[in-house]
Amino acid sequence: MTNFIIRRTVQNVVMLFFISMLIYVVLNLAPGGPFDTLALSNPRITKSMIDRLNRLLDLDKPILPGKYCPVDNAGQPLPCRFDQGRYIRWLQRVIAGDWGESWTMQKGIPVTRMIGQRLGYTFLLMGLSLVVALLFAIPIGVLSAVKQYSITDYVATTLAFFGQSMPTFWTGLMLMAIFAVQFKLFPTGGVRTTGMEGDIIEALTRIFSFGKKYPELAGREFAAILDGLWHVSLPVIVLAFFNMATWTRFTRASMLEVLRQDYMRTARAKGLVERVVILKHGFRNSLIPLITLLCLAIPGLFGGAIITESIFSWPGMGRMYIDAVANVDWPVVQGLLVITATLTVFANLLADILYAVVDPRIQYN
Amino acid sequence: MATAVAELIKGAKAKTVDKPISQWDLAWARLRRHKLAMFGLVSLALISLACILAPVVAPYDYEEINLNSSYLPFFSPGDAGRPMHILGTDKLGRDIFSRLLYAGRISLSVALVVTILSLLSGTLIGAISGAAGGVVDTVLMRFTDLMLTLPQLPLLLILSSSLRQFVQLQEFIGSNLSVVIIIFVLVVFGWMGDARLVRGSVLSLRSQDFIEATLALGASKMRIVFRHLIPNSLAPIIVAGTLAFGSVIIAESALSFLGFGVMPPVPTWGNMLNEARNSPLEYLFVQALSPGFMIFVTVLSINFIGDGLRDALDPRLAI
Repeated sequence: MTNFIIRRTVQNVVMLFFISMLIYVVLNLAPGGPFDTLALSNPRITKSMIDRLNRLLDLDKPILPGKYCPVDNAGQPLPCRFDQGRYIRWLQRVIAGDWGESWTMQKGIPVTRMIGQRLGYTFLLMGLSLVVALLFAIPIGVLSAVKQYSITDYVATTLAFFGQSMPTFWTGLMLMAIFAVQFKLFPTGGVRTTGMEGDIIEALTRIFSFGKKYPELAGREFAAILDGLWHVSLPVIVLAFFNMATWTRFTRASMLEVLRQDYMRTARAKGLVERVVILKHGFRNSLIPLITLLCLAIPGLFGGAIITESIFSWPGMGRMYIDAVANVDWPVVQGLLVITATLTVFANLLADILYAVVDPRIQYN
Repeated sequence: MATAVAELIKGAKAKTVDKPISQWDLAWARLRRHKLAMFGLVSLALISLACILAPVVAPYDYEEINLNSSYLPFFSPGDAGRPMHILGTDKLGRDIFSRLLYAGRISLSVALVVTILSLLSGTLIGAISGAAGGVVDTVLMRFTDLMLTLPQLPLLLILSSSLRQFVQLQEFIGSNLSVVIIIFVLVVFGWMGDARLVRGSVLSLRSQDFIEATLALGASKMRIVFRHLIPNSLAPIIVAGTLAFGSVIIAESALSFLGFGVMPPVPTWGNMLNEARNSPLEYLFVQALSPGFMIFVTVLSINFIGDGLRDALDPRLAI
């Protein structure tokens, strides 16, 4: 097992090297840089001034290691030499913890700090929707497996098909049109009611830091949390409904597999009540494969939901990502992509390890 | 007695003359009994037909602007002597129903092209990887893993936004650039599942006796791959392709919805939803209901068909 973990970790690091290279190259394929908007807004800025600025950011160097023919500030070519390339240079900084600063969205603010500001919101949204999805999907999945081919099963399966076929950008807009615009039960977006002091994340931070942070919120935490939950409801419903489909089908399949096993018959043969057979012997074993799916949900917890967050103006990572793409803010985009890719790679590894831990029949050699 | 025997012989003869029942006939018989799949087939056929016949069926031209009648609700009467706006009109007073049909042409054909191209490339890569083995297999499969690990939607956004900035491309392809870009981008991220599937089934087929027999008969490697390995792994490929068709429709709509896919004035269901989102809130329901419903029904039908095909093409099941 230790061998397996070491080998896979090394493989994953190599994999991440290539993934980040691919991401970096794709991002830098696009012509243009952070100073192009400058030239558009100010006609007095000349091409050579932009070239000089680009040189300051190393943007004239090759992307991958290779030949570099520099030009001096007067535009005269200097002798060519070998350059390690922008990718390697960037990777060194990223590993050292320097993720760069935002080019356009919040000029000069470190990317890591921007991510830190958004992480709580995304975590809240994604975590709640995962919990809600599981709370509904697991009982429904188990029930429709136990009563296979019953009305319950057909309804559940059909609902799962619906959930898989309804894109979140449609359910989001429809829920907003019906519950926020028509019936005014929920807000159309955002994290807090205008005029409220402090939002749910700030209130939670205050509670978990025992009042050290956001001292001005004293006594108003509860109101802020309630207001936040009210705002997060619609996006949570949208995401939970979409995820429920997958989880229900998966639970059902896994439970059906377990119900077929010999030990279920043994449990019945020794005279256990059906409820105990299903819950203690069946249900608990059917959860094992769900661990994989749960691990694969980890990157999403941090990466956020691009579509749902932008529909409901939720200030999470997904919305920051799409804003960054629209504003050509490559350092932010790179930071977010690297986080997602790293989490995906290691979540896969975690899934494999946990799978072997809970099911001793599985051995990796 | 004699006549009975004659009839029996006649019957037997007739039976031998009958075409033998193939795997595909069996599959079709099974599929026909899958009610949801049949529902899916019929509704998908109706939707496609309506979209193909859009110039005949649609009451209005999709670009016909009438600024006097913007944001009309469902079932609004048209101007004097003009047909009714069944699904209302959009910001520019264009008939939503007509736009839906024309948008369906783009959405469906983009999805079809993407699905076929990714199936072809995935099958090719998977077959090569499975048949060649060794270093080729390792390199191709590691690359497939890598592509699967990449965050898809984020990179789709980047790729389509950066490709659009290449001026030369714009001059070369012209006004339909955004359609070409989205097809390319979705194929780049669409082949991995098929490649893995085909590789797996090629690997399991490779060790079977009939392949060894073919080898012994002196067939070339190419012949074995294209005449034996790929046709025999067709069933799972068809199922995967069907389901992929649905998810490509969603992916294209998502990109167009976010403003990174097919650009107006070319309508797709996704960019109609994008326009709906940017309309005043009181019109949101009318604007968003129908384009999203088309995506939903189309994808649902496809998923039903895929589910039916999965059961129908499983040779372990009886009729």
